[in-house]
Amino acid sequence: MTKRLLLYSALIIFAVFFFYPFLWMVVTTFRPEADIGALSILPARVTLENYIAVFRKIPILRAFFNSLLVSVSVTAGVLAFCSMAGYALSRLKFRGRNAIFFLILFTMMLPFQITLIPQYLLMVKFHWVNTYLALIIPFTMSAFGIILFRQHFLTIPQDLIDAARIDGCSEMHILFRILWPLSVPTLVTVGILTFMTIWNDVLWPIIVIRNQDLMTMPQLVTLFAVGGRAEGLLGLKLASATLLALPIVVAYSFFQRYFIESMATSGLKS
Amino acid sequence: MAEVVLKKVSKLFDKNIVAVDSVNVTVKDKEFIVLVGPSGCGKSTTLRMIAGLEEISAGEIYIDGRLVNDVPPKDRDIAMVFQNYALYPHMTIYDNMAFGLKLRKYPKDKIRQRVEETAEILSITGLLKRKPKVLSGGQRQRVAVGRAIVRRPKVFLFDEPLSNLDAKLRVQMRAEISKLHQQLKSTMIYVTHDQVEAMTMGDRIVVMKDGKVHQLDTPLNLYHHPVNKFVAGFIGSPAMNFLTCRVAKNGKFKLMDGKIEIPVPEKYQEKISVYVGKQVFLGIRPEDIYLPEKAFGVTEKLSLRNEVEVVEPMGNEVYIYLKTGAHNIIARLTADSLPKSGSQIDLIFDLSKMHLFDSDTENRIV
Repeated sequence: MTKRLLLYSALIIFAVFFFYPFLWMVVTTFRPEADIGALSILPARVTLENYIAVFRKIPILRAFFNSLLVSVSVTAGVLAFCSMAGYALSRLKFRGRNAIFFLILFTMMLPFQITLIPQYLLMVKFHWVNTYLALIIPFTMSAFGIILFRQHFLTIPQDLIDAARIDGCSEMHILFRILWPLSVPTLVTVGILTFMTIWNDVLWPIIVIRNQDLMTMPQLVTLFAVGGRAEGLLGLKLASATLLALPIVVAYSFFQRYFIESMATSGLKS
Repeated sequence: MAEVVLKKVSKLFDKNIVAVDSVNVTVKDKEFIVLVGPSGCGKSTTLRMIAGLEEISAGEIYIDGRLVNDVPPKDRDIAMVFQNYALYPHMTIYDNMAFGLKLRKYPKDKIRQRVEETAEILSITGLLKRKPKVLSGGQRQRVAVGRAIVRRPKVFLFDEPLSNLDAKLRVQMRAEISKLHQQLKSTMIYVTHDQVEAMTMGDRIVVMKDGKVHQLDTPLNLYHHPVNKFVAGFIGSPAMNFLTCRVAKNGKFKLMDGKIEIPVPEKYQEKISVYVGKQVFLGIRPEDIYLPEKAFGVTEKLSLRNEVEVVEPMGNEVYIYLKTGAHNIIARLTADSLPKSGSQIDLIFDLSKMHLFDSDTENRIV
């Protein structure tokens, strides 16, 4: 009993430790700029002026739409293309299959920063700079997604695929009508991780997007908060940061179970 | 007419591992043929090549007179039942059965009619709305068969479909599949490693080992006239006993097993004559060994004293494991014969039923 009490006390302390800054941020966005120095959780005065100012100063709704469009498109692309590649690498027989797989594995070792400049040059050559294409196309294939799908498809009995083939399925039918319904946890895992990564990405959008109407939310908020347009007002910066975190918090509350499962499945820390 | 012809069909894995070696088999229309053999003999690979799931390294396969070497599985007009049933877990039983017809763009009412008719035949009508995971092994088996017959293909392929069932259900399903064959009158090719299944179900049996067909014959011919030692040992349960003997001539030809002298029946004398001084395998089935008091009408006999090692009463009969000189022998005796382990008993070997095999080629001599 005492052991349990100690454990829970420790957990509560850690929870407060992690949660307090976030809660403080949210509460502070409702404080007038003059009260921001207070560390208490309950605001003395409540105001919406920080949010009104954010909406007035930057096209945050447009950025939200951009982020949603880009994240959803990339996630859909990753699920479709990575599962196709995973299927081919796990179930189709062709020369060099393993070599291709190891090459894909190798690309995971490369930090994004190494390919950043060549990738940017490619975007310039394609005339994709300042378009949604630059935000979407380069990320519709991911080594991580391919590997996860490949490993999962290897666990599905070959007989099931053979039965589908005899029933009259094409390879695409087998993938989307037989394997996909049996791969929901993997689809959710890859989907959530991809969506989160793309939603939170700042570096790449900053490089390829200059037109404010095409900016994603993290890009816009970052430029707003550190770029001087918030005029040094902490309340505005925190309000924009809260708006940025909001969709993820909402999504997390819906997909909490899958999210935890996906972390366990992928064995990755995000 | 759905005849299946395999002409010199071979399968090589990794360019040098021979899984199937120049197999020639003709499965007649409406025939139930069983491919049987130990693990790794190439029977499943042969079946998968007929299905189109495995590429053929050499040779030709014809289904209903059409060369199908390069025809994809869906266009071969075949259906297959798999060992682990391979039902789609996310679909209901109805959808599992209807899936192949849907992909072939059958009209909805036709699909419903076909599925319901098939479900009726297999007594699974009550299961149509369920998912496979809530079904027992036997029920899943029926659904797998149903999924195959709903399409009314020219040829049915079965890949060890009863292996996952318990012994009782296996016997029941064995009879049901045989009944279904009589009802549907289609060509069926059935793979199993269980020789009892092969003997009870097949019109003809293909015995395979190391990728080669050793014998293709009716069950009784396989049993009574095995072409070699492998077939003789594989078909029949308990397996045939083998004694290594030397052929000698002392007036008549006879077999010598150490000090034991085994007379060779008159009818085999001529055939054995060329083996004088050589080794041969003498094969005798466990049911051709009797207790002296039960050896009625056995004319060509050998009486031997044996040590009883293990007694296995089966209820309707008894298997006795014996030590005879350097050999271990199994005798299948009537249920009332229950000798004690460790005791010495005399047994009569019916030599008129003996089989002799060449020790080099292992082919049948008599």
